[in-house]
Amino acid sequence: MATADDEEARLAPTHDAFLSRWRSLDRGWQATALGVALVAGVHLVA
Amino acid sequence: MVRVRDRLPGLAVVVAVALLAHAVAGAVPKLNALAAAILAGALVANTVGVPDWAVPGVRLHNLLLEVGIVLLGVRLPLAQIADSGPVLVALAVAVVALGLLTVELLTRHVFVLSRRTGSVLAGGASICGVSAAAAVAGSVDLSESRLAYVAGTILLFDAVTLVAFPLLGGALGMSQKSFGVWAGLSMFSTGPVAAAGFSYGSVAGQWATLTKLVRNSLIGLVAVGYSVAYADAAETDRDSRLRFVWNQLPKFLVGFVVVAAVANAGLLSDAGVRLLDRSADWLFALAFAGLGFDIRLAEMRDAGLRPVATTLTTLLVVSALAYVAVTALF
Repeated sequence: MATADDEEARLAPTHDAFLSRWRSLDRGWQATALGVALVAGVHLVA
Repeated sequence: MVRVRDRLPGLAVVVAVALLAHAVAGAVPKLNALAAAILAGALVANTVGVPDWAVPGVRLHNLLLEVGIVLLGVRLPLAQIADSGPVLVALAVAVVALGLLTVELLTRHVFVLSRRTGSVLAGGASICGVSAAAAVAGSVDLSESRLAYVAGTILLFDAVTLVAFPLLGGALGMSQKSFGVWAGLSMFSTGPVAAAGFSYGSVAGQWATLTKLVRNSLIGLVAVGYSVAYADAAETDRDSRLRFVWNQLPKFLVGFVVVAAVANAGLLSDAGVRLLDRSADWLFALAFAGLGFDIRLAEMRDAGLRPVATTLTTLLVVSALAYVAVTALF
């Protein structure tokens, strides 16, 4: 059975790749992504 | 590489300053919470200084400001934007052209500076402050030390106009919309424009930010114009110019337009709009607290007498003409 450590190790490359891609984005695109994500989240919740 | 956890302490400091400013503004009549947040940040940065552990988090203020501007899209009725849009675009183009021309003429014939320094100052004073100056500096190949000299001048005027414009607008009895458009056309960097607008009032803040976004969108064209004027024709083919215009365009404009379209299509409930509205207010409060930490009197001392005289003259000419145009049109 997979332990929590195994799960963390399995997800680590995906997590690192996401963070690396995020950091390489222009700040304006980061703001756009965060703003649109907030609007989408509020649309689903409120 | 800065990790997420490295940013948390500085972010906590910014949150604490914003909360403190909110509490102080509630207790002191006529003191705006956003203005209090900037003052508190500037006071800390210029007295005890920003500790190294807080710097990565404090630096997030530009991202917070841009996310706040993206969310501002929920408040702006597209019909109103479409109604005022052509006038705003025409005013922004006229103001940028007037600013560029004034600085170029002054730095060549009155307060003489090197041609490249004059062009970078023209970009910064006409469009969007230090970021525009940096974009034009890349186009005209200006050294970093000369860019710092120009940036010091712009930062000095950002700090002065942030306080002076709302006071002047009040003394002149300007309406919320007129003041917002006037500040958006006349002041330099985006953060101080939004801060001055919101310290005048919510509606003024929306118009100031919107007007400034229209002005900012011209940065790519101006930077390309300068690169063509300074570089060999062979280095600036059509494709690379288009790419350059796209690269310089502030990308959060895309988010702002998307959010405005979603809100105006009626896809958000009233409660949702109110929640996003509050979120934008808090993002601005955090961004302005961080912006205060960036106001360094020591950096402004780098500003030279001639750039200051040039920028002051340009600001007076542009803001006076913008005032006449705004009061006649809005």
